[in-house]
Amino acid sequence: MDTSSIISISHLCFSYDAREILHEINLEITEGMFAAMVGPNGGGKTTLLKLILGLLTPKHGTIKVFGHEPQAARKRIGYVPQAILYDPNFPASALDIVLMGRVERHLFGGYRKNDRDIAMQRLHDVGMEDFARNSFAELSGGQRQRVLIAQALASEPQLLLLDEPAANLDQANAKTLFDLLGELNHHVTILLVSHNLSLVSNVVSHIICVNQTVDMHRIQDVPSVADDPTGWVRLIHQQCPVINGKKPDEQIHPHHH
Amino acid sequence: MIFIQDFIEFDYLKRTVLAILLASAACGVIGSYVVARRQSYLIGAVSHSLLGGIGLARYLQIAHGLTWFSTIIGAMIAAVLSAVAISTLTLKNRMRQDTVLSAIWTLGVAVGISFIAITPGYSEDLTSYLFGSILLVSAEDLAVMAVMTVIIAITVILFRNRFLALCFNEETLYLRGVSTTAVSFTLHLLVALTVVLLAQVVGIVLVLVLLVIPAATAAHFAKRMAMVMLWGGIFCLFFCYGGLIVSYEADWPVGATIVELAVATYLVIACAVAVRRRLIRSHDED
Repeated sequence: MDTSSIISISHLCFSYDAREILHEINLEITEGMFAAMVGPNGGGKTTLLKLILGLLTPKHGTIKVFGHEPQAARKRIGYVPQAILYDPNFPASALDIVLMGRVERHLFGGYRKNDRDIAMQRLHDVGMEDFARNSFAELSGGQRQRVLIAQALASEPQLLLLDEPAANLDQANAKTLFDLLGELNHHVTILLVSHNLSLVSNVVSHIICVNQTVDMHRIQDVPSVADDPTGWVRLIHQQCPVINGKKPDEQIHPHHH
Repeated sequence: MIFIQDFIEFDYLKRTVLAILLASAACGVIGSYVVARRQSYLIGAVSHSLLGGIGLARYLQIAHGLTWFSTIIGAMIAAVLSAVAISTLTLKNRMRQDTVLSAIWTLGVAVGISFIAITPGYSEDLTSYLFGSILLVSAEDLAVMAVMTVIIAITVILFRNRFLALCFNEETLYLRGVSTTAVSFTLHLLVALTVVLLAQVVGIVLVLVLLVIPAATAAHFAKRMAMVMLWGGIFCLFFCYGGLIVSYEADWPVGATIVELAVATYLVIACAVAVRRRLIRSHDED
């Protein structure tokens, strides 16, 4: 497999005001990886995604995506946010929403036949082709989520970023989704945020523990994965700051303010 | 009916009917974006700022003899300036939006009052600008309105994909590498032109309702943006022609009658949709 670098993060620190969210991050995502970020709420998972997208700027350190600044790499990234704000009555069909993944391709005029063919194909990939003409607003939460994934795929990305893609899905739909992502991973590098490690452990190649610092493990190096009674993910893995239970403050001393 | 007799006899009523047709087309198209983007608060500020431009136009016409500087041109300049000011000042939360909007709203009215005050001769009655004077539309006004409607139509045809994505979710558009600032700025300019068009029909104070209600009514049942635009335009035509004919026969103020008809229709359709949803739900539960 080609192992060219997709995301390269070195010595990255990020803080909102005085509160340091991410400290001294080093991470290499190479082509073909399927990595899942896990960790507690507020641990910096979504912040890291936003830094990779160029929506936030690092205070220290560098991020390169496809060897460029994140802003310059944007068109090669498909992004599925955890929740987006939109009008519940927004007048658009599922196909209209998927086509927005190709909005930058033509400065003037409508979408071309080629765009619509690709959008329909992506709706087929997520099992939503029968709903192409349906109003997006009338779909269920899970169906909308799949349409938004189709939108990200319609942009023909080389890197797919997903923030909690299974948050609105029941167990069966979540499993279908992760099987689909496993399928897509043959062509696309995937980085996602997930709470449910038992669901993703069958498809991902890497687990990234994020809690102010990051630590990436190959899935085969993670001895076992277990759901604890609260539904939170517990990894039996001693070196990782997320797992061994210590607060990050006890381990590291933030030096940037 | 007196209206039909007068329509056949007098050119001013033919101009009125044409002016409403142009304003309704713009209202359907741009009103749909305003409603989908929930930006109706913009309209109040832009529409009241028109008074500044109208005051300037009257002053230049009377004090300096610039007869070509009609009130619709003054209104257009004021609308474009306030759209530019709102877009640039509120960019990236540089200034608080509510502060900027209230300042532009009241500054426009203040400038209008000042210009009217220093205009020599008679002190003008502002009522027709505030509450509409659709029966006074001149042939020149109609030509300017036609040009504005064509500009709006062409811009929307060219950039409709970007406008739709902007209204759906700004971040989606931004992450596709499109300048949301430029797209949003263009849309604000079109909103400003539409406000000028509709102000010719119902006046500055009543524009807000007429720009929002037709599209909001259509959004109750239309499922795609193009259909909201079409039905929004049809509703706007219906409100304006209905209001015009009723007010003409009953000798009521035109703008006010149009607005009352629009709000009443909106309420009836909103209630009908709510009742229908409830019936479907109780049917499903059976």
